[in-house]
Amino acid sequence: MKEIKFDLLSTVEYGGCSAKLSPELLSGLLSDIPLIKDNRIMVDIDTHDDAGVFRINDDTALIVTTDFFPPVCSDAYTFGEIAAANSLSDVYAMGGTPLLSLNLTMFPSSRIPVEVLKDILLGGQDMVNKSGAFTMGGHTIDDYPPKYGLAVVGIVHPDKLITNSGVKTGQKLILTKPLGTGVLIAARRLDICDEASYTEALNQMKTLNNKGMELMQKYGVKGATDITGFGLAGHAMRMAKESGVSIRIDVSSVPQLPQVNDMLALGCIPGGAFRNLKYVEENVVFASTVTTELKMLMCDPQTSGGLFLAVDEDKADSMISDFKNNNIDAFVVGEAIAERENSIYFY
Amino acid sequence: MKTIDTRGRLCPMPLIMTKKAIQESLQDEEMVIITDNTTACGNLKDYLRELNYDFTTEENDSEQYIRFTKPAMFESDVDAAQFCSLPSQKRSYVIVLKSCNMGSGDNQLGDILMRAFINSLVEADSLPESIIMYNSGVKLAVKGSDTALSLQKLEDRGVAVFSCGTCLDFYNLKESLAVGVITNMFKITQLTTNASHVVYP
Repeated sequence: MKEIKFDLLSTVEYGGCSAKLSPELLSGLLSDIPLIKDNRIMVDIDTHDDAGVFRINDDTALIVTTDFFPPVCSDAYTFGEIAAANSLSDVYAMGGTPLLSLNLTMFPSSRIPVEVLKDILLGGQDMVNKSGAFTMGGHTIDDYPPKYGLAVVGIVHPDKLITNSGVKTGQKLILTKPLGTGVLIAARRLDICDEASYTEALNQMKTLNNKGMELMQKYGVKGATDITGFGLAGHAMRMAKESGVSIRIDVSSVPQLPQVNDMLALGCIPGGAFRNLKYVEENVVFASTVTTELKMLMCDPQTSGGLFLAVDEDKADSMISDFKNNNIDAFVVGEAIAERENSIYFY
Repeated sequence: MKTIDTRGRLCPMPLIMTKKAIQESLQDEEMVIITDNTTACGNLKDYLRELNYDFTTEENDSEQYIRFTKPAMFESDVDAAQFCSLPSQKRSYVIVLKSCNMGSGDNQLGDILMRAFINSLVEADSLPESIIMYNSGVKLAVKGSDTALSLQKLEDRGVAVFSCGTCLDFYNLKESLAVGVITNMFKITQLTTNASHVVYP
């Protein structure tokens, strides 16, 4: 274990994707700012997808995305890794390969030793190297609390693009990482969870979704998203709406990180989960058999979460075993059904 | 009266303090949460709503007071639930549709009665927690039936709708299921034996 020069968690009240501005507030503002259309734009903000996509020619489309946030953990290097993995994930969720990246950094040079900044950037760079992308530079602002993330450009063949509007009725839905990072980050702050559970959450957050992307292409997946700040409920709702389907999710089959249910039962529920619950309330049904704990887990904001993807029913089993062979704990958690009054049915 | 003073504490600490106090309190005990943080106050109210508590709020200077009473049976108080023979305050119940007919006698009449029962259930004040269908009861949940549409409305309001998988296979209706999910005997046993009461129309 590396020596921690500075406890980054002491700088923030809410970290990671929990720090996102309320989605309702944001969409209200953005509706007043019209964007210019171009027929080369394959995906823009209208479909609430993970990234924008621009077709350059018949063989190549660019995927552009950015994401940055305040610290989610105490250790600077780990924070860098997680923030970078989270930023790169949007490219993978759209079936692409990261090509170029820029660092977006905010750091209070007079309040925190600058070696901490170096560790953040080092962690980020190691993750970018793992993805095969090239760092082209960045921008740093003196600001408190620190924030870090990337702007990423990825590439994809236009025919192989994966979007959140590509889900078809009858397909099975697979989740590739367990839920509960928001809960465990909150629990860690209060020092009420085990070190091992928290370490598992950290390891999961710094795992790239690159293998998941490869498998999505192998199995012809067309509809997917990654689970981040809006939680499984929020991201699944947007995917269902954009795809014109409804989705059933069996809460008992949704994987969770260790100790998460116990933490939720204690009342350790991050504020972001309540925000997400409000966001989805009108379009999502939680059957009365679903416990309060599991309901809140479905709304738990994830940082650098897994892929949530739709695959043809007859391919689901082999895809799951392919994930297991690659040491990824993916599970079938639901299915797409013909569009109904509500977008998501949790049972 | 138990006081839960969460002033100066940020979420989720006030929620944890509240949950702990509920578990340590007696039935019918009055409780008041004090908070000085608007975010925490909002989350506390949402949390109590999720736990099915009725509460009142008042504001005094920059502090909020949330008052509630622990009901006779706390939902996650498993031990109490096991030994308590009275139905809980919420009067949660399960409906089992064991046939596509209501009552025994003429089948045509039974069919009319069952459809009327399910269609009027949509208007009921107190909805069941779940509806379980087995044997010919599963026919009520297939595409093209008016009962399936009513069951969909119930599902949209949070009623869990289950059909027996073996029964759907037997009647060759698996592909026609229009509402709810397929379940097995283990789950059916669990749902019916844990229910505070079961309604067989």
